[in-house]
Amino acid sequence: MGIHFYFIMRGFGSKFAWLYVPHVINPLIVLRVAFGLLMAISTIRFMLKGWIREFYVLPRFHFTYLGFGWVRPLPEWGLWLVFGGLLILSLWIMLGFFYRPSMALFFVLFTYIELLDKTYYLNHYYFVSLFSFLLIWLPLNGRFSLDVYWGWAQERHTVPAWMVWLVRVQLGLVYFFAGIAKISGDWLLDAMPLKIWLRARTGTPLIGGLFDFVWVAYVMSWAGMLFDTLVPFGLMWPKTGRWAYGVVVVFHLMTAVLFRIGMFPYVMIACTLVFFDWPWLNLFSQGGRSSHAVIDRRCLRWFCLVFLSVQLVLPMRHHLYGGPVNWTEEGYRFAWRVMLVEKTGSAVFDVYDPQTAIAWRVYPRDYLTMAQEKQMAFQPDMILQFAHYLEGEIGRDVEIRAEVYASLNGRSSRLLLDPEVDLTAVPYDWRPRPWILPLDEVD
Amino acid sequence: MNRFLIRLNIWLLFGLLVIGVSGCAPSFDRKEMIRDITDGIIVPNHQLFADTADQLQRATAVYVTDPSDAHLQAVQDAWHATNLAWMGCATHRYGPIRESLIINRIDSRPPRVSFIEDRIAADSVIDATFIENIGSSSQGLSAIEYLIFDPLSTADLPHNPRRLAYLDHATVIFAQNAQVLLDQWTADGMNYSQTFIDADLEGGEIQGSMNMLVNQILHDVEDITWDRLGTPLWHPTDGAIDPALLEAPYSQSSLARMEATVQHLHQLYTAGDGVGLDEYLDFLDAEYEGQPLSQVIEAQFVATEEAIQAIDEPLGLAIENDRVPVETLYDELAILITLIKVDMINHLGVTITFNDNDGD
Repeated sequence: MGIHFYFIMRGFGSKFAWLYVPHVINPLIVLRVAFGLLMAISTIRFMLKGWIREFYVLPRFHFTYLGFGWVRPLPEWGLWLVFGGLLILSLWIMLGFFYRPSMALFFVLFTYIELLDKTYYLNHYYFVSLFSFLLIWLPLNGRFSLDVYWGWAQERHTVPAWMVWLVRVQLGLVYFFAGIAKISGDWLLDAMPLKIWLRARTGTPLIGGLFDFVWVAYVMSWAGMLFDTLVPFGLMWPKTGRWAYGVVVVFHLMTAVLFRIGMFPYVMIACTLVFFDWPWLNLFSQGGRSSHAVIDRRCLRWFCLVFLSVQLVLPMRHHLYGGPVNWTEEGYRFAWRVMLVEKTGSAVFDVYDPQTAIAWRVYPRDYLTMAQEKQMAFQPDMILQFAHYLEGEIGRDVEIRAEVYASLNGRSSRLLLDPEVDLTAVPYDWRPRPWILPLDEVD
Repeated sequence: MNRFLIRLNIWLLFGLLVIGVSGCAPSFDRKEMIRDITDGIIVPNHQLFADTADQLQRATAVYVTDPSDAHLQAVQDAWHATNLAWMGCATHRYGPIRESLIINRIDSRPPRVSFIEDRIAADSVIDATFIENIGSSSQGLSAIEYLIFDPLSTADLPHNPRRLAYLDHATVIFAQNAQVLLDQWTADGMNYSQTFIDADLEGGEIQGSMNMLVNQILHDVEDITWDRLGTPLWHPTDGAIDPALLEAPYSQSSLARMEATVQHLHQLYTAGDGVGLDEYLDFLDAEYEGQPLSQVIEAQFVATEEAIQAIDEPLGLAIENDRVPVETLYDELAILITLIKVDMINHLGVTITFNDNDGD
């Protein structure tokens, strides 16, 4: 096995030499400016909406990620400092000022905020964390940057092709897996959840009336699946690149108008600019040099292999758990499962004290914010976390069971969890959760 | 150039076709539904509440000048009428009305009995200005309830001018607040009813009127189940039964308030004779276990109302003497929560929150 892998790695080296061919740096420069600008706008928007206080200061309890329970919110002034820092770093990234430390610190601060509470998990937040980590290692300050202007970085017109393609492949994976996730009975055969969402948007000017036709939901479902699956290839092929980007812009603007998905459409519109080489930028300056790889080739191979392997495995890991991922949510996050479910739930907790034989009912809204309660009510891992938190709040050895009803994509409500299972006896870990009740007809 | 014009014309024709087809869609007029609910239920309910509050104030004025038992009975009757009328308004706390906090000044529970008694026992002036400047839970419906139903307070009322003054001015300010609330909904004042109807253009959005209405209906059902009934039935910390946690213990009207709220939510759901959420669910072909979801929810409202009517004594006594019908009511309400919070909201595509947030 080890020897076989060794030969694969040697083959990788010889067959993929084109990855080291110089490639114009312009796509990375455009990406740097667009990414920095979008992050600055996104940070300002977050602060202006009052989300720092609402998401991270007001809640008594936070749903941290497995293995990151130690991540705790700073006091409110500290959080404002973090967001202020993110804003400044975004602008510095845009300007190419102190680029690499700025991007590294941006990654750390942004990821810290995202790790605080999974209630607010969004695919595009994960994307920003992942992307900012990737961009730390690439010389995005090689042109049109203050680093170059002040001589802190060497101007360069080209970089090894892998640097550009690594970014493009990462973006392509987002679309591709988002498309693969849509190949399901719910999405393609029942046009769910678009059928629900579109009929709630019939007030949209000019085209709103269309959403009352059921066939429109089917057309948009199939078009959405085909768009996500195929657009990365369209963007990568020079002959179709411009057309594909036009479709990207139209698609994302339409989702921005129709759905409340914040900055995601704009982030994707901005970042997909990296699929173009922007030759006209060469008119502005001459000279510079080609870049050698910032890390040696062997390290590079391993870095790329590990990074891309993780990106290929994470979105598919739900197959290891079995069961319908949209219902169980085992392997749902970090998998580019975008806009797949209209899911609602209602959860109450029954506490039993074996010492006193007293039973009583606890309502999560007494402990959680409305947003936290809403998200927890249909996500089994968050329900388990809350049960453990509740046991700690009660402060003695009690049994806690959850009565949770949930509905997925228009199905009738049904029990999500086995209401007889004492959740205080269930560990919070990566293992499959047999206490999640099956939802038979989901594929 | 010709090719450009041909392409442009094709795109224009396509756009016109889309808009034309859009106009022919078999649409449900959601704005009409909101108009029916607003003009047919919400505004008349606020008018009724203002009228009953005015009658309460008049009855109190008579009692203050002649504090007889008969006049006290008239005040109590007027309070009951106002109390039930209020249940048809308390649901509707949206936008500027929510922010104005006037609803808190009308009915904030439980009353601050210690404050009320301290003020009556003191020698400072009790007048309208005094009432206007005290906290919400020391005035309004709950404070008046305490003054006219609590046995010790009613025994003292005819003989204590300061207690009478407190009651008198509290009902005056209460009636004024009821009128102010009515004015916020009507064209004579802020005309929020029109704002509310127009807000449905963004039906799926947080500030859309259907979103706000459905969220408030859900809030009220949860409030009845978990707080107004669940709290006295199962104390949230140790499971002990505590009828003292009833919401209206002095008038023993907790159950009547619940019934009035459920009837009002049921009325909002069907919009009375107008077009309601039930018809909207039918338009969306929403089903529950093979049946129209609208009918399942309708049946559950009826089952809940019957469960309330099956309790034949004040709620506090029922909890202590015969828990079975009370627990049956709790179970019926819990089913109603699931049907509204999980099934109805799933089909409507409504967001369960009043706060803004992104999704993906």
